[in-house]
Amino acid sequence: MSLAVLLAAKAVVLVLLLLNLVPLLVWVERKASALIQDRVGPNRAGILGLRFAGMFHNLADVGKMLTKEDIVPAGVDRLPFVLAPALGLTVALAAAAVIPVADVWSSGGRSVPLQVADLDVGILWVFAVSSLGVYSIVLAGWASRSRFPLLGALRSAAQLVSYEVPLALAAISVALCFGTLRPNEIVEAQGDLVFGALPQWGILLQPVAFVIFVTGALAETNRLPFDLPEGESEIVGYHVEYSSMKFGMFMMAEYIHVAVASALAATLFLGGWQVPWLPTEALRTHAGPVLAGLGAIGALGGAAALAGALRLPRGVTAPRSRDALAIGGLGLAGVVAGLAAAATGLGADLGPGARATVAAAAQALAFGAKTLLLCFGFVWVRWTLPRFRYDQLMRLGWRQLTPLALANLVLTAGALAALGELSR
Amino acid sequence: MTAVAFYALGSLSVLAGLSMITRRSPLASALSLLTLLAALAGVFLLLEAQFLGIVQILVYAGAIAVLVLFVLMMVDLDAAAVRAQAPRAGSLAAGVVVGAAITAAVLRVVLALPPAPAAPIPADSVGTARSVGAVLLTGPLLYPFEIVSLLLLVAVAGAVALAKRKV
Repeated sequence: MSLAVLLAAKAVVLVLLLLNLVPLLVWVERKASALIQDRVGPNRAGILGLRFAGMFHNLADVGKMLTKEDIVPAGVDRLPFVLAPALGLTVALAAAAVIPVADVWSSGGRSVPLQVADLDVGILWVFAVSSLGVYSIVLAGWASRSRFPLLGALRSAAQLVSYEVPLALAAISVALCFGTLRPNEIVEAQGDLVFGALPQWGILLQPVAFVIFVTGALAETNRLPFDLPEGESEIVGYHVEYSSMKFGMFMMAEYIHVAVASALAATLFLGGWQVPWLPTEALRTHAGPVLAGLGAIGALGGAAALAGALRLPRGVTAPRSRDALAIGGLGLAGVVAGLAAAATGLGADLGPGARATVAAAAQALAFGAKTLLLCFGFVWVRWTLPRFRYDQLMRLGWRQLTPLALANLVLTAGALAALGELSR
Repeated sequence: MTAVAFYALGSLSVLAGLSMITRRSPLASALSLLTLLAALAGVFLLLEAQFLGIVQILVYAGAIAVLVLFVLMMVDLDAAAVRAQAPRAGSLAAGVVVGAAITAAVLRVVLALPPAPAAPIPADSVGTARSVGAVLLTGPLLYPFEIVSLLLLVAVAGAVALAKRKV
Protein backbone atom coordinates (compact mmCIF):
# COMPACT_ATOMS: atom_id res chain seq x y z
CA MET A 1 0.00 0.00 0.00
CA SER A 2 2.85 2.39 0.75
CA LEU A 3 3.74 2.05 -2.92
CA ALA A 4 0.37 3.50 -3.92
CA VAL A 5 0.75 6.30 -1.36
CA LEU A 6 4.20 7.13 -2.70
CA LEU A 7 2.89 7.12 -6.26
CA ALA A 8 0.00 9.42 -5.34
CA ALA A 9 2.40 11.74 -3.50
CA LYS A 10 4.68 11.95 -6.53
CA ALA A 11 1.73 12.68 -8.82
CA VAL A 12 0.44 15.42 -6.51
CA VAL A 13 3.88 17.01 -6.24
CA LEU A 14 4.29 16.97 -10.02
CA VAL A 15 0.90 18.57 -10.63
CA LEU A 16 1.54 21.23 -7.98
CA LEU A 17 4.97 21.96 -9.45
CA LEU A 18 3.54 22.41 -12.95
CA LEU A 19 0.59 24.49 -11.79
CA ASN A 20 2.90 26.77 -9.81
CA LEU A 21 5.21 27.10 -12.77
CA VAL A 22 2.37 28.78 -14.69
CA PRO A 23 2.32 32.09 -12.74
CA LEU A 24 6.12 32.07 -12.69
CA LEU A 25 6.25 31.72 -16.47
CA VAL A 26 3.60 34.42 -16.93
CA TRP A 27 5.68 36.73 -14.74
CA VAL A 28 8.87 35.92 -16.67
CA GLU A 29 6.97 36.49 -19.91
CA ARG A 30 5.80 39.94 -18.81
CA LYS A 31 9.10 41.06 -17.35
CA ALA A 32 11.14 39.70 -20.27
CA SER A 33 8.86 41.34 -22.81
CA ALA A 34 9.26 44.60 -20.90
CA LEU A 35 13.02 44.18 -20.93
CA ILE A 36 13.06 43.46 -24.66
CA GLN A 37 10.74 46.37 -25.46
CA ASP A 38 12.58 48.73 -23.11
CA ARG A 39 9.68 49.12 -20.68
CA VAL A 40 9.42 48.67 -16.91
CA GLY A 41 6.73 45.99 -17.04
CA PRO A 42 4.02 45.31 -14.46
CA ASN A 43 4.89 46.69 -11.04
CA ARG A 44 1.69 48.11 -9.53
CA ALA A 45 -0.19 45.27 -7.86
CA GLY A 46 0.85 44.71 -4.27
CA ILE A 47 -0.12 43.20 -0.96
CA LEU A 48 0.53 45.32 2.17
CA GLY A 49 2.93 47.44 0.17
CA LEU A 50 4.87 44.42 -1.03
CA ARG A 51 5.19 44.22 -4.81
CA PHE A 52 8.02 41.77 -5.55
CA ALA A 53 8.66 43.25 -8.99
CA GLY A 54 5.16 42.63 -10.29
CA MET A 55 4.90 39.04 -9.10
CA PHE A 56 1.53 39.75 -7.49
CA HIS A 57 -0.08 40.70 -10.80
CA ASN A 58 -0.57 36.99 -11.30
CA LEU A 59 -2.61 36.76 -8.10
CA ALA A 60 -4.70 39.67 -9.32
CA ASP A 61 -5.16 37.86 -12.64
CA VAL A 62 -6.31 34.69 -10.93
CA GLY A 63 -8.79 36.70 -8.87
CA LYS A 64 -10.04 38.33 -12.05
CA MET A 65 -10.38 35.06 -13.94
CA LEU A 66 -12.22 33.34 -11.11
CA THR A 67 -14.65 36.16 -10.36
CA LYS A 68 -15.57 37.28 -13.88
CA GLU A 69 -18.96 36.23 -15.16
CA ASP A 70 -18.76 32.74 -16.60
CA ILE A 71 -20.75 33.04 -19.80
CA VAL A 72 -21.94 29.94 -21.62
CA PRO A 73 -23.46 31.38 -24.80
CA ALA A 74 -26.94 30.24 -25.79
CA GLY A 75 -26.93 27.50 -28.41
CA VAL A 76 -23.57 25.90 -27.57
CA ASP A 77 -23.20 22.15 -27.17
CA ARG A 78 -23.00 22.31 -23.42
CA LEU A 79 -21.13 19.15 -22.47
CA PRO A 80 -18.26 19.39 -24.98
CA PHE A 81 -18.11 23.15 -24.43
CA VAL A 82 -17.47 22.69 -20.71
CA LEU A 83 -15.31 19.61 -21.20
CA ALA A 84 -12.89 21.11 -23.75
CA PRO A 85 -10.81 23.41 -21.48
CA ALA A 86 -10.64 20.79 -18.72
CA LEU A 87 -9.48 18.19 -21.23
CA GLY A 88 -6.74 20.50 -22.49
CA LEU A 89 -5.41 21.12 -18.99
CA THR A 90 -5.61 17.45 -17.96
CA VAL A 91 -3.75 16.27 -21.04
CA ALA A 92 -1.03 18.89 -20.59
CA LEU A 93 -0.46 17.80 -16.98
CA ALA A 94 -0.56 14.06 -17.72
CA ALA A 95 2.12 14.30 -20.39
CA ALA A 96 4.74 15.18 -17.76
CA ALA A 97 4.22 11.95 -15.81
CA VAL A 98 7.10 10.05 -17.40
CA ILE A 99 9.81 12.71 -17.16
CA PRO A 100 12.45 11.90 -14.53
CA VAL A 101 13.65 14.83 -12.41
CA ALA A 102 16.60 12.91 -10.93
CA ASP A 103 18.19 9.49 -10.96
CA VAL A 104 16.57 6.68 -8.95
CA TRP A 105 16.94 7.45 -5.23
CA SER A 106 18.36 4.35 -3.63
CA SER A 107 19.72 3.62 -0.19
CA GLY A 108 19.84 0.53 1.98
CA GLY A 109 17.90 -1.72 -0.42
CA ARG A 110 15.10 0.76 -1.04
CA SER A 111 14.89 2.57 -4.33
CA VAL A 112 12.47 5.23 -5.45
CA PRO A 113 12.35 6.35 -9.08
CA LEU A 114 11.93 10.12 -9.10
CA GLN A 115 9.28 10.20 -11.79
CA VAL A 116 5.59 9.35 -11.60
CA ALA A 117 5.52 6.56 -14.19
CA ASP A 118 8.58 4.65 -15.39
CA LEU A 119 7.26 3.38 -18.72
CA ASP A 120 9.15 1.23 -21.19
CA VAL A 121 7.95 3.58 -23.95
CA GLY A 122 7.94 6.82 -21.94
CA ILE A 123 8.91 9.05 -24.85
CA LEU A 124 5.96 7.76 -26.88
CA TRP A 125 3.68 8.38 -23.89
CA VAL A 126 4.44 12.10 -24.03
CA PHE A 127 3.56 12.22 -27.72
CA ALA A 128 0.48 10.02 -27.35
CA VAL A 129 -0.97 12.07 -24.52
CA SER A 130 -0.14 15.47 -25.94
CA SER A 131 -1.64 14.43 -29.29
CA LEU A 132 -4.95 14.23 -27.41
CA GLY A 133 -4.63 17.99 -26.83
CA VAL A 134 -6.05 18.44 -30.32
CA TYR A 135 -9.42 17.29 -29.00
CA SER A 136 -9.54 20.17 -26.57
CA ILE A 137 -9.19 22.61 -29.46
CA VAL A 138 -11.48 20.80 -31.90
CA LEU A 139 -14.19 20.34 -29.29
CA ALA A 140 -13.94 23.97 -28.21
CA GLY A 141 -14.35 25.13 -31.78
CA TRP A 142 -17.14 22.72 -32.57
CA ALA A 143 -19.11 23.16 -29.37
CA SER A 144 -19.08 26.95 -29.67
CA ARG A 145 -21.55 26.64 -32.58
CA SER A 146 -20.14 29.74 -34.18
CA ARG A 147 -18.27 30.29 -37.45
CA PHE A 148 -15.09 31.90 -36.20
CA PRO A 149 -14.18 29.43 -33.46
CA LEU A 150 -14.87 26.57 -35.87
CA LEU A 151 -12.50 28.04 -38.47
CA GLY A 152 -9.94 28.77 -35.75
CA ALA A 153 -10.20 25.21 -34.47
CA LEU A 154 -9.70 23.74 -37.94
CA ARG A 155 -6.65 25.94 -38.44
CA SER A 156 -5.18 25.02 -35.05
CA ALA A 157 -5.89 21.31 -35.37
CA ALA A 158 -4.20 21.23 -38.79
CA GLN A 159 -1.18 23.00 -37.30
CA LEU A 160 -0.91 20.66 -34.30
CA VAL A 161 -1.31 17.51 -36.40
CA SER A 162 1.25 18.74 -38.95
CA TYR A 163 4.00 19.61 -36.50
CA GLU A 164 3.61 16.42 -34.51
CA VAL A 165 5.25 14.58 -37.40
CA PRO A 166 8.68 16.30 -37.41
CA LEU A 167 8.60 16.53 -33.61
CA ALA A 168 8.15 12.79 -33.18
CA LEU A 169 10.68 11.98 -35.93
CA ALA A 170 13.29 14.17 -34.20
CA ALA A 171 12.67 12.46 -30.86
CA ILE A 172 12.85 9.02 -32.50
CA SER A 173 16.28 9.72 -33.97
CA VAL A 174 17.51 10.59 -30.47
CA ALA A 175 15.95 7.41 -29.07
CA LEU A 176 17.70 5.48 -31.85
CA CYS A 177 21.07 6.91 -30.80
CA PHE A 178 20.61 5.74 -27.22
CA GLY A 179 18.81 2.53 -28.14
CA THR A 180 15.90 2.96 -25.74
CA LEU A 181 12.57 4.73 -25.32
CA ARG A 182 12.74 4.77 -21.51
CA PRO A 183 13.37 8.38 -20.44
CA ASN A 184 15.57 7.50 -17.48
CA GLU A 185 17.81 5.27 -19.63
CA ILE A 186 18.09 8.02 -22.25
CA VAL A 187 19.27 10.44 -19.57
CA GLU A 188 21.65 7.86 -18.07
CA ALA A 189 23.23 7.27 -21.49
CA GLN A 190 23.86 10.99 -21.82
CA GLY A 191 26.25 10.86 -18.87
CA ASP A 192 28.89 9.00 -20.95
CA LEU A 193 31.70 11.07 -22.38
CA VAL A 194 32.62 11.35 -26.05
CA PHE A 195 36.29 11.87 -26.93
CA GLY A 196 36.85 11.41 -23.19
CA ALA A 197 35.92 15.02 -22.54
CA LEU A 198 32.42 16.11 -23.59
CA PRO A 199 29.25 14.69 -22.04
CA GLN A 200 27.34 12.75 -24.68
CA TRP A 201 24.26 14.95 -24.69
CA GLY A 202 21.58 14.54 -27.32
CA ILE A 203 22.28 17.99 -28.72
CA LEU A 204 25.85 16.88 -29.47
CA LEU A 205 24.83 13.66 -31.23
CA GLN A 206 21.72 15.08 -32.92
CA PRO A 207 22.09 18.84 -33.48
CA VAL A 208 19.69 18.81 -36.45
CA ALA A 209 17.08 16.93 -34.44
CA PHE A 210 17.40 19.55 -31.67
CA VAL A 211 16.62 22.40 -34.07
CA ILE A 212 13.66 20.48 -35.53
CA PHE A 213 12.41 19.55 -32.07
CA VAL A 214 12.52 23.09 -30.71
CA THR A 215 10.83 24.48 -33.84
CA GLY A 216 8.15 21.81 -33.66
CA ALA A 217 7.69 22.42 -29.94
CA LEU A 218 7.10 26.13 -30.58
CA ALA A 219 4.36 25.19 -33.04
CA GLU A 220 2.85 22.52 -30.78
CA THR A 221 2.62 24.93 -27.87
CA ASN A 222 0.95 27.62 -30.04
CA ARG A 223 3.71 30.11 -29.32
CA LEU A 224 5.03 32.80 -31.59
CA PRO A 225 6.15 32.58 -34.37
CA PHE A 226 3.45 29.93 -34.74
CA ASP A 227 0.69 31.40 -32.58
CA LEU A 228 -2.01 31.38 -35.26
CA PRO A 229 -4.33 29.33 -33.02
CA GLU A 230 -4.40 32.22 -30.57
CA GLY A 231 -3.16 35.35 -32.27
CA GLU A 232 -4.13 37.37 -29.23
CA SER A 233 -4.74 40.67 -30.95
CA GLU A 234 -5.50 39.98 -34.61
CA ILE A 235 -6.76 36.50 -35.38
CA VAL A 236 -9.99 35.06 -34.03
CA GLY A 237 -9.09 31.76 -32.44
CA TYR A 238 -10.95 28.68 -31.24
CA HIS A 239 -11.65 30.10 -27.80
CA VAL A 240 -13.41 33.41 -28.56
CA GLU A 241 -16.66 32.20 -27.01
CA TYR A 242 -14.96 31.33 -23.73
CA SER A 243 -14.82 33.58 -20.72
CA SER A 244 -13.70 33.59 -17.13
CA MET A 245 -11.73 30.60 -15.82
CA LYS A 246 -12.62 28.41 -18.82
CA PHE A 247 -10.57 30.81 -20.94
CA GLY A 248 -7.99 30.84 -18.16
CA MET A 249 -7.67 27.08 -18.38
CA PHE A 250 -6.75 27.29 -22.06
CA MET A 251 -4.03 29.78 -21.16
CA MET A 252 -2.80 27.61 -18.27
CA ALA A 253 -2.68 24.60 -20.58
CA GLU A 254 -0.50 26.59 -22.97
CA TYR A 255 2.03 27.48 -20.29
CA ILE A 256 2.06 23.92 -18.97
CA HIS A 257 2.69 22.71 -22.52
CA VAL A 258 5.66 25.10 -22.66
CA ALA A 259 7.02 23.69 -19.40
CA VAL A 260 6.51 20.06 -20.50
CA ALA A 261 8.03 20.68 -23.93
CA SER A 262 11.06 22.31 -22.26
CA ALA A 263 11.38 19.42 -19.81
CA LEU A 264 11.19 16.89 -22.64
CA ALA A 265 13.73 18.82 -24.71
CA ALA A 266 16.04 18.95 -21.67
CA THR A 267 15.57 15.21 -21.17
CA LEU A 268 16.27 14.30 -24.78
CA PHE A 269 18.91 16.84 -25.73
CA LEU A 270 20.46 18.53 -22.69
CA GLY A 271 21.23 15.53 -20.55
CA GLY A 272 18.10 15.68 -18.37
CA TRP A 273 19.09 15.41 -14.73
CA GLN A 274 22.80 14.82 -15.52
CA VAL A 275 25.15 17.23 -13.80
CA PRO A 276 27.89 17.59 -16.43
CA TRP A 277 30.95 15.39 -15.67
CA LEU A 278 29.42 14.21 -12.38
CA PRO A 279 27.60 10.87 -12.68
CA THR A 280 25.26 9.75 -9.90
CA GLU A 281 27.96 7.62 -8.21
CA ALA A 282 30.38 10.55 -8.05
CA LEU A 283 27.68 12.81 -6.65
CA ARG A 284 26.98 10.24 -3.92
CA THR A 285 30.58 9.58 -2.93
CA HIS A 286 31.37 13.30 -2.80
CA ALA A 287 28.02 14.25 -1.28
CA GLY A 288 29.71 16.55 1.28
CA PRO A 289 31.46 18.85 -1.22
CA VAL A 290 28.35 18.72 -3.46
CA LEU A 291 26.19 19.94 -0.58
CA ALA A 292 28.78 22.64 0.14
CA GLY A 293 28.63 23.70 -3.50
CA LEU A 294 24.83 23.84 -3.48
CA GLY A 295 25.01 25.89 -0.26
CA ALA A 296 27.50 28.26 -1.88
CA ILE A 297 25.18 28.74 -4.87
CA GLY A 298 22.28 29.45 -2.51
CA ALA A 299 24.39 31.91 -0.52
CA LEU A 300 25.45 33.69 -3.73
CA GLY A 301 21.80 34.00 -4.78
CA GLY A 302 20.90 35.38 -1.37
CA ALA A 303 23.78 37.86 -1.55
CA ALA A 304 22.60 39.02 -4.97
CA ALA A 305 19.07 39.59 -3.61
CA LEU A 306 20.51 41.47 -0.63
CA ALA A 307 22.64 43.65 -2.91
CA GLY A 308 19.60 44.37 -5.07
CA ALA A 309 17.57 45.33 -2.02
CA LEU A 310 20.29 47.67 -0.81
CA ARG A 311 20.18 49.50 -4.16
CA LEU A 312 16.50 50.37 -3.68
CA PRO A 313 15.76 53.81 -2.20
CA ARG A 314 15.87 53.64 1.58
CA GLY A 315 13.73 55.26 4.27
CA VAL A 316 10.26 54.51 5.60
CA THR A 317 8.51 56.81 3.12
CA ALA A 318 10.47 55.57 0.08
CA PRO A 319 8.17 54.01 -2.54
CA ARG A 320 9.46 50.45 -2.26
CA SER A 321 10.76 50.39 1.30
CA ARG A 322 8.80 47.27 2.26
CA ASP A 323 9.98 45.48 -0.85
CA ALA A 324 13.53 46.40 0.10
CA LEU A 325 13.02 45.03 3.60
CA ALA A 326 11.37 41.80 2.44
CA ILE A 327 13.80 41.05 -0.38
CA GLY A 328 16.77 42.00 1.78
CA GLY A 329 15.48 39.79 4.59
CA LEU A 330 14.94 36.85 2.26
CA GLY A 331 18.40 37.42 0.77
CA LEU A 332 19.97 37.45 4.23
CA ALA A 333 18.10 34.25 5.14
CA GLY A 334 19.34 32.70 1.88
CA VAL A 335 22.95 33.62 2.71
CA VAL A 336 22.67 32.16 6.22
CA ALA A 337 20.95 28.95 5.04
CA GLY A 338 23.45 28.53 2.20
CA LEU A 339 26.43 28.97 4.48
CA ALA A 340 24.91 26.56 7.01
CA ALA A 341 24.42 23.95 4.26
CA ALA A 342 28.00 24.50 3.09
CA ALA A 343 29.33 24.07 6.64
CA THR A 344 27.27 20.87 7.09
CA GLY A 345 28.57 19.53 3.79
CA LEU A 346 32.18 20.17 4.70
CA GLY A 347 31.99 19.21 8.36
CA ALA A 348 29.42 16.49 9.01
CA ASP A 349 29.70 12.87 7.93
CA LEU A 350 26.65 12.06 5.79
CA GLY A 351 24.84 8.71 5.92
CA PRO A 352 23.96 6.78 2.74
CA GLY A 353 20.37 8.07 2.73
CA ALA A 354 21.50 11.67 3.07
CA ARG A 355 24.10 11.13 0.32
CA ALA A 356 21.44 9.83 -2.07
CA THR A 357 19.19 12.76 -1.19
CA VAL A 358 21.96 15.31 -1.79
CA ALA A 359 22.77 13.70 -5.16
CA ALA A 360 19.08 13.71 -6.14
CA ALA A 361 18.75 17.35 -5.08
CA ALA A 362 21.75 18.36 -7.19
CA GLN A 363 20.35 16.48 -10.18
CA ALA A 364 16.86 17.93 -9.73
CA LEU A 365 18.39 21.42 -9.59
CA ALA A 366 20.38 20.73 -12.78
CA PHE A 367 17.24 19.47 -14.50
CA GLY A 368 15.23 22.47 -13.28
CA ALA A 369 17.90 24.89 -14.47
CA LYS A 370 17.96 23.34 -17.95
CA THR A 371 14.17 23.30 -18.18
CA LEU A 372 13.82 26.91 -17.05
CA LEU A 373 16.54 27.99 -19.46
CA LEU A 374 14.58 26.43 -22.34
CA CYS A 375 11.36 28.03 -21.03
CA PHE A 376 13.12 31.37 -21.14
CA GLY A 377 14.15 30.55 -24.72
CA PHE A 378 10.45 30.15 -25.56
CA VAL A 379 9.72 33.58 -24.08
CA TRP A 380 12.69 35.15 -25.81
CA VAL A 381 11.59 33.82 -29.21
CA ARG A 382 8.06 35.08 -28.67
CA TRP A 383 9.14 38.69 -28.19
CA THR A 384 11.74 38.60 -30.95
CA LEU A 385 10.17 37.00 -34.03
CA PRO A 386 7.10 38.07 -36.01
CA ARG A 387 4.29 35.63 -36.81
CA PHE A 388 4.24 33.27 -39.78
CA ARG A 389 1.42 33.42 -42.30
CA TYR A 390 -0.70 30.27 -42.46
CA ASP A 391 0.64 29.06 -45.83
CA GLN A 392 4.21 29.72 -44.67
CA LEU A 393 3.52 27.71 -41.55
CA MET A 394 2.26 24.73 -43.53
CA ARG A 395 5.10 24.93 -46.05
CA LEU A 396 7.70 25.04 -43.30
CA GLY A 397 6.11 22.06 -41.56
CA TRP A 398 5.49 19.74 -44.48
CA ARG A 399 8.03 20.77 -47.10
CA GLN A 400 11.01 21.61 -44.94
CA LEU A 401 10.89 20.25 -41.42
CA THR A 402 9.32 16.85 -42.21
CA PRO A 403 11.73 15.91 -45.05
CA LEU A 404 14.64 17.21 -42.98
CA ALA A 405 13.56 15.12 -40.00
CA LEU A 406 13.07 12.06 -42.21
CA ALA A 407 16.51 12.50 -43.78
CA ASN A 408 18.02 12.95 -40.34
CA LEU A 409 16.34 9.76 -39.12
CA VAL A 410 17.47 7.72 -42.13
CA LEU A 411 21.03 9.06 -41.87
CA THR A 412 21.11 8.33 -38.14
CA ALA A 413 19.85 4.79 -38.65
CA GLY A 414 22.32 4.26 -41.50
CA ALA A 415 25.26 5.56 -39.47
CA LEU A 416 24.29 3.43 -36.47
CA ALA A 417 23.92 0.35 -38.69
CA ALA A 418 27.33 1.04 -40.23
CA LEU A 419 28.84 1.30 -36.74
CA GLY A 420 27.12 -1.96 -35.78
CA GLU A 421 25.17 -0.28 -32.98
CA LEU A 422 21.75 -1.52 -34.07
CA SER A 423 22.27 -5.22 -33.43
CA ARG A 424 22.15 -4.79 -29.64
CA MET B 1 -6.83 -4.24 -8.18
CA THR B 2 -5.99 -5.38 -11.73
CA ALA B 3 -9.27 -7.27 -11.98
CA VAL B 4 -11.26 -4.21 -10.88
CA ALA B 5 -9.47 -2.04 -13.43
CA PHE B 6 -9.99 -4.69 -16.12
CA TYR B 7 -13.73 -4.97 -15.54
CA ALA B 8 -14.10 -1.19 -15.34
CA LEU B 9 -12.23 -0.64 -18.61
CA GLY B 10 -13.94 -3.60 -20.26
CA SER B 11 -17.45 -2.46 -19.44
CA LEU B 12 -16.54 1.11 -20.39
CA SER B 13 -15.36 -0.03 -23.81
CA VAL B 14 -18.50 -2.14 -24.38
CA LEU B 15 -20.72 0.78 -23.35
CA ALA B 16 -18.76 3.18 -25.56
CA GLY B 17 -19.03 0.78 -28.48
CA LEU B 18 -22.78 0.47 -28.02
CA SER B 19 -23.16 4.23 -27.72
CA MET B 20 -21.07 4.69 -30.87
CA ILE B 21 -23.46 2.68 -33.05
CA THR B 22 -26.70 3.83 -31.42
CA ARG B 23 -26.14 7.58 -31.25
CA ARG B 24 -27.70 9.60 -34.03
CA SER B 25 -25.48 12.66 -33.53
CA PRO B 26 -22.26 12.06 -35.50
CA LEU B 27 -20.21 14.04 -32.98
CA ALA B 28 -21.45 11.92 -30.06
CA SER B 29 -20.65 8.83 -32.11
CA ALA B 30 -17.12 10.03 -32.81
CA LEU B 31 -16.56 10.85 -29.13
CA SER B 32 -17.83 7.40 -28.15
CA LEU B 33 -15.33 5.91 -30.58
CA LEU B 34 -12.61 7.95 -28.90
CA THR B 35 -13.67 6.69 -25.47
CA LEU B 36 -13.67 3.12 -26.77
CA LEU B 37 -10.14 3.50 -28.15
CA ALA B 38 -8.87 5.01 -24.89
CA ALA B 39 -10.46 2.23 -22.82
CA LEU B 40 -8.89 -0.43 -25.05
CA ALA B 41 -5.51 1.29 -24.65
CA GLY B 42 -6.03 0.97 -20.89
CA VAL B 43 -6.68 -2.78 -21.29
CA PHE B 44 -3.42 -3.12 -23.25
CA LEU B 45 -1.57 -1.28 -20.48
CA LEU B 46 -3.07 -3.65 -17.88
CA LEU B 47 -1.66 -6.57 -19.89
CA GLU B 48 1.82 -4.96 -19.65
CA ALA B 49 1.72 -4.41 -23.41
CA GLN B 50 2.89 -0.83 -22.98
CA PHE B 51 3.94 -0.28 -26.56
CA LEU B 52 0.62 -1.49 -27.97
CA GLY B 53 -1.34 0.61 -25.49
CA ILE B 54 0.57 3.80 -26.25
CA VAL B 55 0.49 3.24 -30.00
CA GLN B 56 -3.24 2.67 -29.74
CA ILE B 57 -3.59 6.18 -28.29
CA LEU B 58 -0.96 7.74 -30.56
CA VAL B 59 -2.30 6.35 -33.85
CA TYR B 60 -5.99 5.66 -33.34
CA ALA B 61 -7.05 8.22 -30.74
CA GLY B 62 -4.48 10.86 -31.65
CA ALA B 63 -4.62 10.68 -35.44
CA ILE B 64 -7.41 8.59 -36.93
CA ALA B 65 -10.20 9.70 -34.61
CA VAL B 66 -9.05 13.31 -35.09
CA LEU B 67 -9.39 12.77 -38.83
CA VAL B 68 -12.93 11.43 -38.34
CA LEU B 69 -13.82 14.48 -36.28
CA PHE B 70 -12.22 16.73 -38.90
CA VAL B 71 -14.37 15.26 -41.65
CA LEU B 72 -17.48 15.60 -39.51
CA MET B 73 -16.72 19.28 -38.94
CA MET B 74 -16.09 19.86 -42.64
CA VAL B 75 -19.28 18.28 -43.92
CA ASP B 76 -21.37 19.31 -40.86
CA LEU B 77 -23.95 16.55 -41.07
CA ASP B 78 -27.33 17.88 -40.15
CA ALA B 79 -28.31 15.82 -37.12
CA ALA B 80 -32.01 16.44 -37.71
CA ALA B 81 -31.81 15.19 -41.29
CA VAL B 82 -29.98 12.07 -40.14
CA ARG B 83 -32.65 11.46 -37.51
CA ALA B 84 -35.45 11.77 -40.05
CA GLN B 85 -33.86 9.10 -42.20
CA ALA B 86 -35.32 5.72 -41.26
CA PRO B 87 -32.93 2.80 -41.80
CA ARG B 88 -33.82 0.94 -45.00
CA ALA B 89 -34.41 -2.80 -45.04
CA GLY B 90 -31.66 -3.37 -47.61
CA SER B 91 -28.92 -1.62 -45.63
CA LEU B 92 -30.13 -3.30 -42.44
CA ALA B 93 -29.82 -6.73 -44.05
CA ALA B 94 -26.38 -5.88 -45.46
CA GLY B 95 -25.29 -4.76 -42.01
CA VAL B 96 -26.48 -8.00 -40.42
CA VAL B 97 -24.68 -10.13 -43.02
CA VAL B 98 -21.37 -8.24 -42.80
CA GLY B 99 -21.57 -8.08 -39.00
CA ALA B 100 -22.22 -11.82 -38.77
CA ALA B 101 -19.28 -12.54 -41.07
CA ILE B 102 -16.90 -10.41 -38.98
CA THR B 103 -18.19 -11.92 -35.72
CA ALA B 104 -17.69 -15.42 -37.13
CA ALA B 105 -14.13 -14.58 -38.20
CA VAL B 106 -13.28 -13.15 -34.75
CA LEU B 107 -14.92 -16.09 -32.96
CA ARG B 108 -12.94 -18.56 -35.06
CA VAL B 109 -9.69 -16.99 -33.88
CA VAL B 110 -10.82 -16.65 -30.25
CA LEU B 111 -12.10 -20.24 -30.02
CA ALA B 112 -8.89 -21.56 -31.59
CA LEU B 113 -6.84 -19.93 -28.81
CA PRO B 114 -5.30 -22.37 -26.35
CA PRO B 115 -6.79 -22.20 -22.84
CA ALA B 116 -5.03 -20.04 -20.25
CA PRO B 117 -1.26 -20.66 -20.38
CA ALA B 118 0.16 -22.83 -17.60
CA ALA B 119 2.73 -20.24 -16.54
CA PRO B 120 2.12 -16.46 -16.59
CA ILE B 121 3.62 -14.76 -19.64
CA PRO B 122 6.84 -12.89 -18.73
CA ALA B 123 6.07 -9.19 -18.36
CA ASP B 124 8.21 -7.87 -21.22
CA SER B 125 7.71 -10.60 -23.82
CA VAL B 126 4.53 -9.40 -25.52
CA GLY B 127 3.59 -5.95 -26.73
CA THR B 128 6.72 -4.04 -25.73
CA ALA B 129 8.61 -1.98 -28.29
CA ARG B 130 11.35 -4.61 -28.45
CA SER B 131 9.10 -7.64 -28.93
CA VAL B 132 6.78 -5.98 -31.45
CA GLY B 133 9.79 -4.75 -33.40
CA ALA B 134 11.36 -8.21 -33.34
CA VAL B 135 8.16 -9.83 -34.67
CA LEU B 136 7.49 -7.25 -37.37
CA LEU B 137 11.00 -6.46 -38.57
CA THR B 138 13.08 -9.60 -38.12
CA GLY B 139 10.60 -12.49 -38.11
CA PRO B 140 8.58 -14.14 -40.88
CA LEU B 141 6.20 -11.16 -40.84
CA LEU B 142 8.83 -8.85 -42.35
CA TYR B 143 7.62 -9.18 -45.97
CA PRO B 144 3.87 -8.91 -45.27
CA PHE B 145 4.59 -5.91 -43.04
CA GLU B 146 6.67 -4.13 -45.67
CA ILE B 147 4.13 -4.90 -48.40
CA VAL B 148 1.34 -3.38 -46.29
CA SER B 149 3.51 -0.28 -45.69
CA LEU B 150 4.04 0.01 -49.45
CA LEU B 151 0.30 -0.33 -50.02
CA LEU B 152 -0.34 2.52 -47.57
CA LEU B 153 2.28 4.65 -49.29
CA VAL B 154 0.60 4.03 -52.65
CA ALA B 155 -2.74 4.99 -51.11
CA VAL B 156 -1.29 8.26 -49.78
CA ALA B 157 0.32 9.07 -53.14
CA GLY B 158 -2.98 8.28 -54.88
CA ALA B 159 -4.92 10.54 -52.53
CA VAL B 160 -2.49 13.38 -53.18
CA ALA B 161 -2.73 12.84 -56.94
CA LEU B 162 -6.54 12.86 -56.83
CA ALA B 163 -6.69 15.94 -54.64
CA LYS B 164 -4.19 17.83 -56.80
CA ARG B 165 -6.08 17.25 -60.03
CA LYS B 166 -9.16 19.12 -58.83
CA VAL B 167 -7.34 22.35 -57.99
